[in-house]
Amino acid sequence: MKPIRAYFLGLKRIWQVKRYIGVIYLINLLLALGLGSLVGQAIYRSLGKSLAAERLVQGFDPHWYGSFSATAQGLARTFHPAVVGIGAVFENLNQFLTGRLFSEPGIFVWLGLLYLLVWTFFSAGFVSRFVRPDDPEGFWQSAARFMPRFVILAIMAGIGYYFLLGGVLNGLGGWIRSLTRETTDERVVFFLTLVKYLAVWILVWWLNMIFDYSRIATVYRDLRMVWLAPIEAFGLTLRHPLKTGGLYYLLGTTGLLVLLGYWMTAPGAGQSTATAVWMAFLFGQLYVIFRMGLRVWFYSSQTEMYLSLRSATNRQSKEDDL
Amino acid sequence: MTRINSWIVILGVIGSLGLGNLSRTMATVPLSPRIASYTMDVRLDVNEKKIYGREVLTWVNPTSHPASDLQFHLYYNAWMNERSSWLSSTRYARRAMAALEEDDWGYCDVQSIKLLGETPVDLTPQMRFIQPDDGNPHDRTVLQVLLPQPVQPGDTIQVEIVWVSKVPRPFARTGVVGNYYFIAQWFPKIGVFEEGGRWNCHQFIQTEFYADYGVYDVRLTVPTGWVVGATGKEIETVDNGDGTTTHRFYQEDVHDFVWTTSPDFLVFTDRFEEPNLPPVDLRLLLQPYNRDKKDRYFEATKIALRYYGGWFGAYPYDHLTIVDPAYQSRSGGMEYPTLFTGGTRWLAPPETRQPESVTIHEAGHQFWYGVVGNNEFEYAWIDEGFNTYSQSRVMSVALDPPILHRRYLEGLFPILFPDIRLAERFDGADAYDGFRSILKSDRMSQLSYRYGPGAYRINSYNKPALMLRTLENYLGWETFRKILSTFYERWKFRHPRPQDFFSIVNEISGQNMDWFFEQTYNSSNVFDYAVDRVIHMPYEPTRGWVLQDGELVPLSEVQRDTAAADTARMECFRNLVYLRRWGEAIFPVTVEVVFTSGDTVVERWDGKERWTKFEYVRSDKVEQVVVDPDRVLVLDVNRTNNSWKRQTPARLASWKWASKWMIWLQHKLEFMAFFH
Repeated sequence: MKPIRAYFLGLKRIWQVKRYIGVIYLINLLLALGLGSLVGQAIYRSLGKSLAAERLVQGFDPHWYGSFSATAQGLARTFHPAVVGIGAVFENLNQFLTGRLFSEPGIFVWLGLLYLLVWTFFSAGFVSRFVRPDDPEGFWQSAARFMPRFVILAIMAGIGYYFLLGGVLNGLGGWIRSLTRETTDERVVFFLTLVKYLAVWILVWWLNMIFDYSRIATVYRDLRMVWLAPIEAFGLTLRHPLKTGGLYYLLGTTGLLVLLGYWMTAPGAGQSTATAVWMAFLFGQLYVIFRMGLRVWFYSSQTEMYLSLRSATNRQSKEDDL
Repeated sequence: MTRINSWIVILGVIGSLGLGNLSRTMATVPLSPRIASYTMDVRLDVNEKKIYGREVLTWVNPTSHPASDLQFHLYYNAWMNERSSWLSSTRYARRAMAALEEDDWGYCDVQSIKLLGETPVDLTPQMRFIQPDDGNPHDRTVLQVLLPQPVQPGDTIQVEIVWVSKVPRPFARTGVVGNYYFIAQWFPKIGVFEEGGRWNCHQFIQTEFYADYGVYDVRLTVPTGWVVGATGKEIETVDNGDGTTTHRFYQEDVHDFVWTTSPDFLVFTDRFEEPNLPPVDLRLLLQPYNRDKKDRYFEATKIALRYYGGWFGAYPYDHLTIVDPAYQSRSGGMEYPTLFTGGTRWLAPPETRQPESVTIHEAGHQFWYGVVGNNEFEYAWIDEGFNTYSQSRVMSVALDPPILHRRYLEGLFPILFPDIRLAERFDGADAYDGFRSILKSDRMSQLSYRYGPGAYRINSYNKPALMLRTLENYLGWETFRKILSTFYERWKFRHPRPQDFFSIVNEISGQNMDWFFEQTYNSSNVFDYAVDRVIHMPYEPTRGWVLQDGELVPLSEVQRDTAAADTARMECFRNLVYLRRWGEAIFPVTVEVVFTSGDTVVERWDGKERWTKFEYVRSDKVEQVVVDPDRVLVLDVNRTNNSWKRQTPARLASWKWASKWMIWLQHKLEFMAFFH
């Protein structure tokens, strides 16, 4: 199967699980709402009856922010005007790419780990549904059945990510610093740094792809010894690099293109009416939902690819037997 | 000891060096007292990263006291080892220290010092290091030399010093990276002998500049083909035929000399021309990768020369060199006479104001530091604060308002947030990120080299800029401009102290502003005026008893005559506006009260008591109150509590910004979910 076919087949299959994506979105939204309300209250309290409220509605008020940030406590301290528009993505993308996403204030780390578990659970359900669409076992039962194995896979993947983003990335960073110690041309450091991130993130994405296929293989083969799954997935990606890699980067490019589109259209700070504020919020939610859908899309398309490659392998085995 | 007239010495030195292009750069009348003049011959060895130097210092005792010793700054010894006061202070990051290699240290080794005259006297055995500031015996940044005979008031001496400096990897501004050398604070430099007969020659710990004006005639020998930029004008270039070239730079009436060299510089020239201001030749030494910033550097420099020159007084020299510092050289954003360093990034769209902001700031230092030469060791706020204020003022009239930008992926990529407008630095205390947390860390009048952790920046840059802006708002721009131009005119090529400025403020404004300086300069108190509460209630006639003609009568009977008025007042509201002074510092403020009918009442409050009340009995209610509506007191640390409005969209505002934070959090969770 060509990557492009798996890509579109996967897209079709997302619709079969749309309500589960809806559930995961609701969880995400509720977590954000819970903490967002605390930040909102802090902003509200800081404004009181001040005219700063009007300025904040019209746009942004740096004087208010100066006062607010100087006295903010807890979560409110994480508020920054750069959360507006594309900044909401880029601020986190920066942390993500530089391997500092989990070096955040404690509450975000715990929340992130909880959310990881949520996704681990739902991934089990999604993959089960894609691998065995006719299985009488429901989404929730499948998710519960495979969850423990997916947790083990997540831990294994986490060790790999930690090694790459903690060890390799930092190691390369130190090496580049040493290499460019006497460099006076910023472009040299610029491109070497880009190469560093590209090199590490190609490995991270490869690892991510291996563990995607590991999850699919675990469900497909109902593997009990889950540590075998990454070995099989690793072999699969090595045997079919163009197909597996092509599909992965096709999906990744889709995400990148939508990100660029969001960058161009993301609402900034100019909403001055309740309707405009809500519209901006809802527009932002569409992109959040897209990102969740994209993650599921990876699973659905990669499942199609996996099944296709498996059946080709099986056919080849039978022909060889004959 | 030979008494020599200083002018004869200078002219003699000039004569001995050959005139060449010198006549073009010589002032007919000295602009400055020319107390310390140097003739130097130095050679840079790029293999050893060493400077071999010989200088002849011509020094005049400008005081009415004899000088029995000489004191010199040896700045490079601050990076001799970790025991120096500079390196052992908390200012230097521990992480950067760990990355130091053997070749990174720097030092200035004075090999000989000789008193010139008919019979030269070797003073080398009389050298010793002293530590006037902290007593750290390991600090070797101040060298004392005892003289065989005191230098009498008005006398001139000549001293020859031979020294070798190891150029460090840049710790602060000066040093070498690759083949980029930025050589500042590099030669044995005499301190300032002050009235009272004491040397003002501080150790190099935190602050760095204070020197007398003079004439610098410097020959710099560097590898042939390397571009050289320096204080002054290049008046002679000699190819030595041994792979080196000697560049001779000459400058009168400056208090320091800096130079830079690298084979990589691109050299551009331009000229500043403005009606009513003298023209200035501009020379830009640019890093090749910043070629696209050429026009931005020039334009920003011209903006500074135009506005500073127009507001305060003309730039007195006819040339200025701008240096675009090499990447990771730590030499950006620094001022020296007739030369300064800017700073930018390879990717820096104009909205980032890189290099505009730093260029205007450093070009501005040519006025506040270069021409008005305050003692930066002790009163850094005079040059940094004046310049931060001036820079902000220039930028607010000459550039678009600042917008938020963030740099991502280790600072490689700038991302702009066009609809997040920021405040200029002098627009308000609360606009400063981190200002409020350290604003009480020290009083501004503390000597700058003694500021505690975190207090130097706030008291040298931010607070004085706000203090000056508040003064401008209070006295009016025209008066304040006159104050600054008078200060500039009176103190150019001299060393003003804070009181000199305060006196000019009082003189020009015709007001005694000591109360203001007492609070802003001599204290760490803060200003914070606020609307505490606004109450309105239906008007009710007063009840009870009152003494009338010796008899107690019911108040209702007394008021019977005014019953009609009371009846009218029954339709009224009693509006009470309470204001607070939360800060310790006091400043008179105006208060604007707007009523629902649209009427506006402006009140004055001397701001002395902790609170005050304004009462209005009217048929309408108070709609809005603003303390200091014209934002005179930009030192007020909390603008948010300065206003009150009956109905504000606080709910909508908080939801709007909380919703954006929520989306930020949602994406954070989604990025975390990648690792599931």
